[in-house]
Amino acid sequence: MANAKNNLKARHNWIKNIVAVVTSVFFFAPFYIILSLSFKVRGDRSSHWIFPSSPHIQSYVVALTKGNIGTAIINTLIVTVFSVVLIILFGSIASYPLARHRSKLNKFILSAFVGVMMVPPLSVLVPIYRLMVSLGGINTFWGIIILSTTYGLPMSVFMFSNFICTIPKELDEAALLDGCSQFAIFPRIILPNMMPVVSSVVILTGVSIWNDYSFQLYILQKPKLRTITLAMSSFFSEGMTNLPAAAAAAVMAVLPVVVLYLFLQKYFIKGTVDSAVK
Amino acid sequence: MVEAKLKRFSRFLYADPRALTLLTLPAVVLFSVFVVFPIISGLNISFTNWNGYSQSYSYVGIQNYKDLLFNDSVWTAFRNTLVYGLGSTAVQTVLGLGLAMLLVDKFFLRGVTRTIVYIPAMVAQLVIGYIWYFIVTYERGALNDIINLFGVSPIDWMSKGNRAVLIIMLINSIAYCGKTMIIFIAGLESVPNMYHEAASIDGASGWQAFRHITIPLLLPAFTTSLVLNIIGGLKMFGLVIAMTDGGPGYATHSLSSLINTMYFANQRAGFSSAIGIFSFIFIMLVSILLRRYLEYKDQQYNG
Amino acid sequence: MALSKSDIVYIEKVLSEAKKTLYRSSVVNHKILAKEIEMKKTIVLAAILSLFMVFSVFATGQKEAEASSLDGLHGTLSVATNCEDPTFSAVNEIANRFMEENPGVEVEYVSYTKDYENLMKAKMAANDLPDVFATHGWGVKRYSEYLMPLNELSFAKRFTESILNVIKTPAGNIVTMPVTAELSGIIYNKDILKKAGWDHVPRTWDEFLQSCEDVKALGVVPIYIAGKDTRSQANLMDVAAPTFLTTYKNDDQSQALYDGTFDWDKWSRVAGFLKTLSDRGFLNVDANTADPIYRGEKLAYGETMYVFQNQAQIASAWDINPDANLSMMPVPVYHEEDTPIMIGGERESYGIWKDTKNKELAVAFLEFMSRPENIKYVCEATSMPTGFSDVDVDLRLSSDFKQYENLRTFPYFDREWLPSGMWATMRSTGGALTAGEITVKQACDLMAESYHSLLSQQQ
Repeated sequence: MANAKNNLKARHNWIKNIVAVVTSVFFFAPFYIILSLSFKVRGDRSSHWIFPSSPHIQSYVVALTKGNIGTAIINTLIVTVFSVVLIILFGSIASYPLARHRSKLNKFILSAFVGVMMVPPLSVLVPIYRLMVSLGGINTFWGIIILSTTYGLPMSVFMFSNFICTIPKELDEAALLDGCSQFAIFPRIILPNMMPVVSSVVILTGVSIWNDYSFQLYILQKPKLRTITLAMSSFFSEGMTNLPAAAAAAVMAVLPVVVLYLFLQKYFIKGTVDSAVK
Repeated sequence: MVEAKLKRFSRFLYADPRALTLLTLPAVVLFSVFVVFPIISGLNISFTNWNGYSQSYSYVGIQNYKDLLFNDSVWTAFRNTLVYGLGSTAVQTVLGLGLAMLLVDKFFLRGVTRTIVYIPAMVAQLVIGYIWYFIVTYERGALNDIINLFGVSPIDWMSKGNRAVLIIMLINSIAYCGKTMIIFIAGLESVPNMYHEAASIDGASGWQAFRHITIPLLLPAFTTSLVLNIIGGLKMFGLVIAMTDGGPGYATHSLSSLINTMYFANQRAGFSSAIGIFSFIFIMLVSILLRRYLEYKDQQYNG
Repeated sequence: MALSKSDIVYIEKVLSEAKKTLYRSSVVNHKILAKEIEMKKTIVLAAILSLFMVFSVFATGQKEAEASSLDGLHGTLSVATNCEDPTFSAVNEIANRFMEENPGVEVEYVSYTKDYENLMKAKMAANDLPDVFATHGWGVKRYSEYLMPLNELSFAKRFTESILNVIKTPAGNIVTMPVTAELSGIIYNKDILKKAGWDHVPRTWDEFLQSCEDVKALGVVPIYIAGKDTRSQANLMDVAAPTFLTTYKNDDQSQALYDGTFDWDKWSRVAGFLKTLSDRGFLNVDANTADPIYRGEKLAYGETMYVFQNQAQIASAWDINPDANLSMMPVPVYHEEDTPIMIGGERESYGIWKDTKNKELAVAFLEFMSRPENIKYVCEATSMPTGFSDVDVDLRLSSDFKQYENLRTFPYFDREWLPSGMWATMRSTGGALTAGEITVKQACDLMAESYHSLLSQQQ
C-alpha cells in the first residue's frame, strides 16, 4: 500500500523535475541572450543564441570606464538604503494606528495612501521638479531620498497595515494592562513580530527604487552623482552602435539585485504569506 | 491654567487612542508636500496652454479636456492600458497559479526554479524591454532565428499595432509572473492540510477538492495579484518605451507613456496634464470599486 | 513520622520537576538575554553605519575648486549637452585644455543624450539652467528666451553668412556659438550607385526614385529607416521638405509658413513622397521597428544604399568598417528647373544662460573654444564642417564637398519654417505613414492642427 503511494510520488517528482527544467530554461533564456551578447566583440553579428567561443570582457571594461558604473553603484546604494530605512520607519509607525483604530480620519488617510499607490509619478514630474528647485534639493542626495521615500510609503503602509491586522489585539491590551504607555506598544510588542513583512517591504521598495529612472534622472544630474539606471541607459541612445557594451551595462545593473534576493529569499516568502494572503 | 491644559494634553497622549494618529504625521507630511501639492499643480496646468518650458502661458479653460475626448491617441492609450492591466492579470493568474502548483511541494529542483522564475521580476522595465527587443526584433532577432529553423521566413513582430500591444502584454506577464507565483505559493501553503484530508475522507476527487476548497481559499491571493497588476498596467512606461517607443504611430502607448510623450515631445503640457487628471480620476474609481468588492467578498467569507 | 518510600519517590519527582523547570526557565531567560544582546549589537552597528552614511550623504557633491592665484579665473562652470561620441570626447578635450590653461577653474561637462531635451525643458520651467548649454539647432526657436546675446564677443564677427542666418533672432541677437556646423544631404554608398549603373548622383526626386528601383533590382535595400525611433521618418521629411516647398523661387511658401496662412494640403507633396517610398518597397522590411543601433552596420556592410542622416552617421559606420565607400550627396529637387541644395545650420552649438552666476567664466570658455585650433580639432575629430569662415577643416569627405561648394544651403525644414514643437508631429505622422496607419490627407490635417495650436501658443 505504502509502496504504491511512494512510487506514484516518485513518478510525480520525476515529471515535476522535467517540467521544472523546461520552465527554468524558458525563463533564463532572455538572460542567456544578454549575457552572451555582453561577451561578444563589437561588430560580431552572429545569432543571439550562439555563445561566443572565446568570451571577451572588453565590453565590461568599456561599461565600467565610460559608464562609470562603479560610482553609479555606490550612488544607487546610498539612495536605496537610506530611502528604504525611512520607508520602513515612517511606514511602520504610520500603519500602526491606521490598522488598529478604524476612526474616520484614519480610514481616510489609509485609502488616500492606497489610492496614491496607483498614480504614475511621471504625470506630476514637472511640478515636483519645480518644487525641488525652490527647496534647493536638486543634485543632492537628500532630495532624491525624500522623493523616493514618499513614493515608496504607500506600498509599505499597505503591507504593514495588512500585517498588523493579523496580530491579535489582545496582545496590545495585555501590554496596556501591564502599564505600557500606548505609544510604547508599537516598538515593544508589534515591531519584534514584524520581521518577515519588513523584509518583504525591503525587497519590494528597495528593488523599485534601485530600478527607478525618472526621479533619479531629474534630481541627480551631475555625472558623479549618477545612479546605475542612468549610467546604463546612456548606452542605449541614438548614436550608439556598441551592442555588447550596452549588454554588459545591463548585466551589471541587474547583478546586485539578484544577489540581494538570494540573501533575503527565506524571509521574503514568509513575509508575503502573512501580509498578502491573510 | 497652563498646568491644567498640560495635564489634559498628557492625558490625551497617554490614554486617548486617537492620539496615536500622530504617528502618521511624518508620512502624511511627506505625502502632502510631494504628492498632493504636485497633483494640484498639475490640475492648474491642465487649464492652460503651457508648452512646458516657457515662463509664460495663458489659460484656456476646459479646452484641453474637450480635445482629450476627441483625441484618438488618448483612447488608444486608454484601451492599451486596460489591455496591459487586465490582460496581464489574466495571463499571470494562469501562469502564476500553474507555476505555484508546480513549485509548492518540495522536490529536487524546486528552489532553483523558483529563483530563476522570480529574478526577471526584479529587473527594471527598461532593461527587460531592451532584452526582449533583441528577441522579437526583425533584424537577427532571437525569435526569428527559431522560426527560421522551421523554414518560416522572418517576421517583423512589432510592426502591427494590435499585435505589438499583445506582445508587450505577454512580455509583461512573462517577465513579472514571478511575483504572482510567489503570492499564489503563499496562498497555497496557507491552505491547512486538514481541509484536504477532510475532503478526501468525504470522497471528493482531486479536481473537486481543487474547485471547492483551493480556489475559494486562494481568493485573497488572487485579489492581491489583481490589484498589483492593475497598478502595473497603469504605470507601464519603461517596457513600452524600450520596445516600441509608443509606435508604430501611437499604437502601443500606455496612458503613462503618452502623458510623458505629450508633455515633452509634443510640448503640450496643458493637454498632457489633462490626460494625467483624467487617468487619476479613473484610478480613483478603480480603487474605490476594488475596495467595495474586497469588503463584499470579505463579508461573504467571514460574515 | 518517617516518610514512606512512595512519599520519597514523590518528593524526588517534584524536586526533579522543579529542577527541570528552573533549568528550562533559565535557558529561556538565557535565550531572551542572548536575543536582547543580539538586538543591541545590531542596533549599535546600525547606528555606526548610519552615522557613517549620513556623513557621506552630506559630504558628497561638494567639491570646491581650489582658488589658486588672485589673478586668473577660478570657479566651477557647468556645461551640458546632448551629443555623444565622438563629439562629446572632442569637446571634453577642449574643456580639459581650458582647465589646463586656467588651473583655478573646474569645468563640469556632461551629456544627457536622449534625455537632454526633456531635462532642459523641465529646467527651463524651473528657471534652473546650466551656465553653458548646447542648443542643437534650436537656439533661436526654443531656447532664445533663456540665452544671453553674444554679439559683443570676439568671435561674433567670424561666422559665415549662412550660419549667421540661423543663429540670429529676429531682433538681431546672436544667441549661440556653433562649434560644428551642419552640411548634409543624403548619405549614399558610391560603390552601389555605380553598380546600379549611375555615373552621377540623382538630381531630381524622379531620378532618385529611379535609382531606388535600380538598386532594389540588385537586391540591396534602397533606403534604410530605423523607424522604431520615429526621428528617422521625421528626418527624411525634414530634409526633403525644403525642396518641395521653399527652395524654388517660383513656388516659395516661406511667407505663408511664417505668417500662418500656409495651405497644408501642399504638405501632401512631402507626406506623399514618404508614402510612395514605403508603398513601392524602397524601405527596409522592418522600417517601423528597427532600432537606430543597426544603422551603422547596415551602411558599413553595404546592405543599404541611402540613409537620411548627417555626417556623424558616416563616421560611426567607418568605425565599424573604414573601407566603406560612403559619401554625402546634395538633396535632389522637386521642380525640374531647380538646383539641388545642401542642408546647413548649427550642429554642436553652445549658448550662455542669461541668468548665469558665472558670466565671466562662461564667456571665457566660449572664447577659448572659438580659437581656430580648437575649432579645427573638434571638427576634424567628428568629421563635421565648421561655421567659422576663417577655419580650414580637413575632412575625409572634403574633396567630395568641394564639388558642392557653390550649392545653396537651406536649414532643416522644421527649424526654420515651423513653430517649435512641430517636430513631434512630424515624428508621429511619419511613423504612422510608414506603418500604413494614416492616409496622406490625414497626415496633412494632423500637421495643420498642430501648426495652428503651436502658433497660437506663441502669442
